[in-house]
Amino acid sequence: MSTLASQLINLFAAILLLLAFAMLSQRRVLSLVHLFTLQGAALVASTSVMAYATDQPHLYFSAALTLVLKVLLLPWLLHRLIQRLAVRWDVEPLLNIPTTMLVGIVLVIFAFTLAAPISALSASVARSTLGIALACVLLSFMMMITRAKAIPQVIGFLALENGLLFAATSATYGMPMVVELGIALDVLVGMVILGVFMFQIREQFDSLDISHLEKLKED
Amino acid sequence: MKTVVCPIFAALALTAALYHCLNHAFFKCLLFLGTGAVLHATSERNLGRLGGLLRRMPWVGWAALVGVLASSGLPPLNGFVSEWLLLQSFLFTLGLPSTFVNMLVPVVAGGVALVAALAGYTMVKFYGVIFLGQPREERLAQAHDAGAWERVGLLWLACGCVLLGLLPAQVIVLIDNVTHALVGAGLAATVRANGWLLLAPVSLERASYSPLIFLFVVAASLLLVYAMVRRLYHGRLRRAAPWDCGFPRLTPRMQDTAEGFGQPIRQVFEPFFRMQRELPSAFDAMPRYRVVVQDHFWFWIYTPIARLVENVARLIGLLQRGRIATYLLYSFATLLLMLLWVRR
Amino acid sequence: MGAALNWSGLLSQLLEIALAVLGAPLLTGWVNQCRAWLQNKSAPPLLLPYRTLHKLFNKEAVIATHASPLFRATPYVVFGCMALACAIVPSLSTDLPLASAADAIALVGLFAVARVFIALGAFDIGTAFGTLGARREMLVGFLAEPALLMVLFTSFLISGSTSLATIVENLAGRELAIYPALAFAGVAFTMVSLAENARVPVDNPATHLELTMIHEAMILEYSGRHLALIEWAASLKLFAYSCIGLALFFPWGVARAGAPLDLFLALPVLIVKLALGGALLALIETASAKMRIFRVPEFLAGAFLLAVIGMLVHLLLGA
Repeated sequence: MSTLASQLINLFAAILLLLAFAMLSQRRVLSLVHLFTLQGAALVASTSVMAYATDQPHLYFSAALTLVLKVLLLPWLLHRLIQRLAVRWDVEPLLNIPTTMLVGIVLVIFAFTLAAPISALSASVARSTLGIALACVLLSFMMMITRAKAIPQVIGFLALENGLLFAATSATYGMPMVVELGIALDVLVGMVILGVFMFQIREQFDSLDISHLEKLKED
Repeated sequence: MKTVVCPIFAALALTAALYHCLNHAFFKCLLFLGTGAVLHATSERNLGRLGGLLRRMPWVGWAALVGVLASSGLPPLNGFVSEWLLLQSFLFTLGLPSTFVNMLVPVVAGGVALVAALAGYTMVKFYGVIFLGQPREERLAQAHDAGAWERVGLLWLACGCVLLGLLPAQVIVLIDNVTHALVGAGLAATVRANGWLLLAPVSLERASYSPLIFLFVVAASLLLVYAMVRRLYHGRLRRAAPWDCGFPRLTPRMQDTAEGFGQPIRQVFEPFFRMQRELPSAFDAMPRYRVVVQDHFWFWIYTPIARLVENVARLIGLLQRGRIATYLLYSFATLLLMLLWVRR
Repeated sequence: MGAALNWSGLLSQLLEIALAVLGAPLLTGWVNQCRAWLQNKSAPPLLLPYRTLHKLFNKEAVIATHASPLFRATPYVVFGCMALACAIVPSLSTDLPLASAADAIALVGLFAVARVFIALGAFDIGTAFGTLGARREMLVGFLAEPALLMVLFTSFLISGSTSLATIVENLAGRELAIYPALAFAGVAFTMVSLAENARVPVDNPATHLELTMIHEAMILEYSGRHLALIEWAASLKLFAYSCIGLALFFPWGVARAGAPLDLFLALPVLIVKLALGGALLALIETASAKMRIFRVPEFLAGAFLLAVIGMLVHLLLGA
């Protein structure tokens, strides 16, 4: 039984990494939102499997919270935002896509090497996936850096939080409920503020291109 | 002397590297001689003024083909054997004690494969633009083929490439002495045990490659198909003008130039180069296209070092006054300092 | 040769070569039929590729006045390479004497030989379209070949050997388990296989517009028996790639060494697997649009990096 559970968790970890990479190479904003939804779903599945395998009921709550927030509420908010802002495509990212993916590979190796001694200290059944979680975090961070429009940056931020949640679940059986609720509220509020912010950018510069913000510097 | 952790793995990797050096010597020399023969025959180095030389210079052309196939790492020639040994050595990474190296090696293996494929691209461009297609200049019709001694020079290198590719076991036995001296192990024992036909550096279940059987099967199927097609159908052939999708006025200027063939690579690897482009406009009577491709590393590493060396040399130049008394003073001062130092 | 040259090995080897050479056009015909059904058109007959080959062999070969012997030899070389490639992939049985002569890395080398010769043949006549096709084909191949090698590497690392026969025996013998590394490798292999076999979304095999061709542009100057051999070699390549995919990711049902009667079971199993694979290929072709030529390096770089990640995941998770 536990071998099936650990295999499933490994599979979901691999899917998370695959989705993080796919988000790095996507051009279309709508596909980014779909990939983010899928990532949320994979996270929910992996948390549920962990809850079942290790008999920790509070992980079920965590999975339910992630489901409501990451798979239902936030994607719906993002869809509405996209429709109202009428965004479809992204401009060319900072580096071209093959170079971005190459840098992504280097980050993945870095994360894996870093996580190897740390995961030896953990007692969790999914400790070998800590490297993958760290890699997801680094890849989402890179997505935030190399994107030129506001919405992919926001999605990168949300994917970052996904990675952190997965790291917490796999290394230490989840965070205390208070911390988790706090983070969830932070993310929700952050989304609302960023949504308002995006409208302001649009009004000011007539475009969501982040490089226009450079005009605000002192000259 | 440090003890080698996994001597057999080290021997395999070292054998691959040494074999590759040997192969490189043969096919590079062959290609250089080929280009030398072309230069000698046409007094042209510019690829934009060559083309179609296979018909005028068959000896050089066919020998250069062997060099091109060997340098692209294609079986059953020699370039492939060293590439094969190298990739085999990469697959032993799970046995290494360090995790970081374990993970880095597969990625490096990917890099090696990428480089080998890129070499193939370049070699196709080299051979295609120079020897195939139609001549881009009229005076190429006067190109003469290689002389008798030039042919000998080309042929023995081509034979070397072929033999190094077809008889790898014997070469590894020869390299064995070197690996024994450096890492204390060698592949000769395992290779000899598996016979002269098959190359199996570690074990038969693990991996094996037989270039002779490879060549035999491909040649046999080639001849069999040729014979059967002639027997069952016919072998009629007719010569005509090139089809070219019905375009009637085909000129040699319409085939790809070397720059044109390399354009996809420039596009894909643009972040890694420093490129300056001059593009013609649609209204130019004599359109001109110019591209200058430079390496970033030249400007980041080599130029600063060169500048540093230059500055240091200029500083040292201040010491050289040209008067003998000054130089004698330098030697005298050094002697005094040494005596002082030794006294303490 | 390495494995003992016994009668069952020889028989399974010859049977595999015969099946590949004679059955490859049938696979192409099946893929074309599925594609027509999915696009709601009336399908061409299943045996149409055989009739096309027969028609082409009967025709006289017309070649350019200045074509060199390299141009004339290329179709035979390419066909020979593809035949050997089909011979070493364990589609029916793992008891193949030739598998000890060429392992999976040599298989990749075989595809490279075919690609280089076709590109040189395209250069030989010196037309704009031929060199255009050669340039694009080398671009696709330069990225697809390392991606394929990385996919194979993942299987090498899992099974500990580079011989395809050993890999199949190893993977088929294990109990059913989920290997995430193989999932990554599977996706990467599908992408590489679409690129190398000149299928949508990389290249449209049925296009008539020369400026959008990759593979077809290189063979514009061939006719008669030369064209027939090249088309046949292209079907063989698709057959070989399908069998490699089945061997790496769905290896059950292949006859083992020392059990020659399993061949009778292996043949229908292979036919069913190939039929499903062909239908899946038709589905992918119908559901995708052909991409711009300069999006293809991104596509293949994605496949390459997926395969590398699969290897890294395998090294990290040990799975």
